[in-house]
Amino acid sequence: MKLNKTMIAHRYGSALFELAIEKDERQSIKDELTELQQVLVEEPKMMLLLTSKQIAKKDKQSFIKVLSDSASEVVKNLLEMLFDYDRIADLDVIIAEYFRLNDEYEKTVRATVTTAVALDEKQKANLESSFARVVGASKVVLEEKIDPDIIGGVILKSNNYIYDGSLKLKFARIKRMLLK
Amino acid sequence: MSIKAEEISALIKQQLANYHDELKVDEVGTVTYVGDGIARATGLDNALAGELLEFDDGTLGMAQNLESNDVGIVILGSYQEIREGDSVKRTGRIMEVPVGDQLIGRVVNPLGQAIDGLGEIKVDKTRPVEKKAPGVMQRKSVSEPLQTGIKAIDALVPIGRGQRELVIGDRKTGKTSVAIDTIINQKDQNMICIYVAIGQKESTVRSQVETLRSYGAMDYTIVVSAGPSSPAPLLWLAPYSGAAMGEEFMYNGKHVLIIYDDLTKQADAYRELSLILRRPPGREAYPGDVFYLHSRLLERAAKLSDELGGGSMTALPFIETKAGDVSAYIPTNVISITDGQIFLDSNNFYSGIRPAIDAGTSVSRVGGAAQIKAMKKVSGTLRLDLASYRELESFAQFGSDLDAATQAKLNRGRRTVEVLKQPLHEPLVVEKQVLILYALTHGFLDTVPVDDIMRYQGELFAFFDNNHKELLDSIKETGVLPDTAKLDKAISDFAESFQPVSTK
Ligand SMILES: Nc1ncnc2c1ncn2[C@@H]1O[C@H](COP(=O)(O)OP(=O)(O)O)[C@@H](O)[C@H]1O
Ligand SMILES: [Mg+2]
Repeated sequence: MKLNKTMIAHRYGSALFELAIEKDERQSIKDELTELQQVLVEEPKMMLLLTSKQIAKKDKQSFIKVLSDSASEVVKNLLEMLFDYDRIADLDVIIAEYFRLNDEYEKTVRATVTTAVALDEKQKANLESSFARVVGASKVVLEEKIDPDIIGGVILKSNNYIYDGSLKLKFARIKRMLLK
Repeated sequence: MSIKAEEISALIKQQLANYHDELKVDEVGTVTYVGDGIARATGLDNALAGELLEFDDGTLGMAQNLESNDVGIVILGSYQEIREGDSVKRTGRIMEVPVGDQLIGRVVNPLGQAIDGLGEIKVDKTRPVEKKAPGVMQRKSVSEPLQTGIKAIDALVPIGRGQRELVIGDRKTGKTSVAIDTIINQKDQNMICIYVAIGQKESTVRSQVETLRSYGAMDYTIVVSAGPSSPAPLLWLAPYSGAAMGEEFMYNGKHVLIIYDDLTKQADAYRELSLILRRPPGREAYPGDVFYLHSRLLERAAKLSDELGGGSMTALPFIETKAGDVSAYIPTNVISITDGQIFLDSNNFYSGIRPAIDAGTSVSRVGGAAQIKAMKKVSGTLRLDLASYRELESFAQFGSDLDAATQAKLNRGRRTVEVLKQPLHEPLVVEKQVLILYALTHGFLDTVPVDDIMRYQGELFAFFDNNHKELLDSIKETGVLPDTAKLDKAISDFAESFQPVSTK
């Protein structure tokens, strides 16, 4: 059976993460992968070339070399192995999986918060700490979004949960109640 | 040691500079599997579903399954020369076939290439094989008749221009003959015919073309043929190609009759293809979208609104049943898509009732609106006559005494069946159909021995041609029955001179 991208990401990502814990390099590998991810975003053509059927293997290897030359042993091995197993195209999802596992490990929860006007620092800190309490996380990373359409209040979106405390929703509820 | 994105990006940029040319031609994939009319290729990440692809040797293919790692390609043509490792190019086009007047009179394969040995066909226009059917606002209801020239059809299951009428029956029940005779009858009817032969023996198609040619019917007919030895993709494609050729005329305000003989074989080809492409099989091992295969094809038949030129495309899809089983998967699908069906019954056929149309199960849901008034009038009671005849017939087999009314019904029924028989390749103009049906329903045939009816009909027509042409012409021109007193008188005059030979 063919593996799909999510399965590949999970297998390679968790293996990499376990190895990182074992070697006690969790943080440093995370930093390296962050840099690597940035390269992927900045040079989208590189991946095109690495997966092209018309480019000689030797030429592709020279790219892998550039990427891995300054890398730690673990990341270097990862790159070479992915290349040898024809999985280099999945590098981005493997990196993303590593980040996800790392968040889990650190009990970090990421969430987007939507408000009608920007939050000030104090409000944000309050929101972070109370949300952390609710979900039992030790750290919450908020990504802010401004949407005047919600009129007032806050919408918090995290993983597969949504906490909608917007005025827009409340007004809609009142309207539905009145119409009944 | 640690990675620095900025430094690496700079280095990568330098290296990338050398590859500019190669990166541009990345619309080429590599074949990883060939066989049974399909290929798989990797590297065609941007290919669109249905896009035309070109192999090294010029063979065309159509992108079908777009999967995460590769693309499933249907090979249109021979795949002997394609090898694993060959490259396959995107063309950016979707599958098109040549269309236009130049195709008329020719026999072509589903790609629009001549296979009649009369040389290459030079056209200046093509059309995509798959096209969205006209919408509600682009259509008009069916109102003009399509005369098949076959009494049993024109009287009992009339077909209108723009209608879809299914012709269904076992093998060797006269389905193809209905197609051929209907085409022959379109002479001077301002109609372009397209006969799509799917999986029909080359020799059969050849003799059909000969027949059409000898009746002058190739002057307005295109034959599209994908023989049984063609790869499955071509059999699957054939009806769509035919429809595209027909649409060209329809959208130019012309009238088109298209016959798909038969869609059972197309569905089988599609099943084969889908199984090889590893699509999950469903009922009777057909893929899940086999209904859509036929619905989107038959929806393309239409009567266009006046703003769009008022052209039409009438579709006669054919389905071959096994032992008269109309409840199998493909027959039920197509029955539900079409505007009625003509059921050809093998018992009828073998007992000599040819065309073997079963009046009880054959219907036309929209054609009635397109029938001319005179025909409506004379054919009104036929269906009932036949039904009560069938019912009484079984009783009558016991012999015994029957009352006069029952006798009369049986008499009429027997003659109705006889009148609706028709030999091959002798389509009748509508005014003559009206005439004989008028004679039948007004009791003129009740005293004629059954075995003499065919001869009676022939002589009646000759008599009218010679002595009462004006009555026939008036039906033809006005569409209504002429003064019935005159008509009755003329038929009586003829009846007096008619000499029966049979005693039954
Ligand atoms: N109306 C008819 N009168 C006499 N013979 C007929 C008639 N219709 C069909 N046949 C004969 O029956 C045979 C089978 O007909 P065909 O149209 O090929 O059937 P199908 O397409 O259903 O297999 C042919 O040999 C044809 O000549
Ligand atoms: Mg046939």
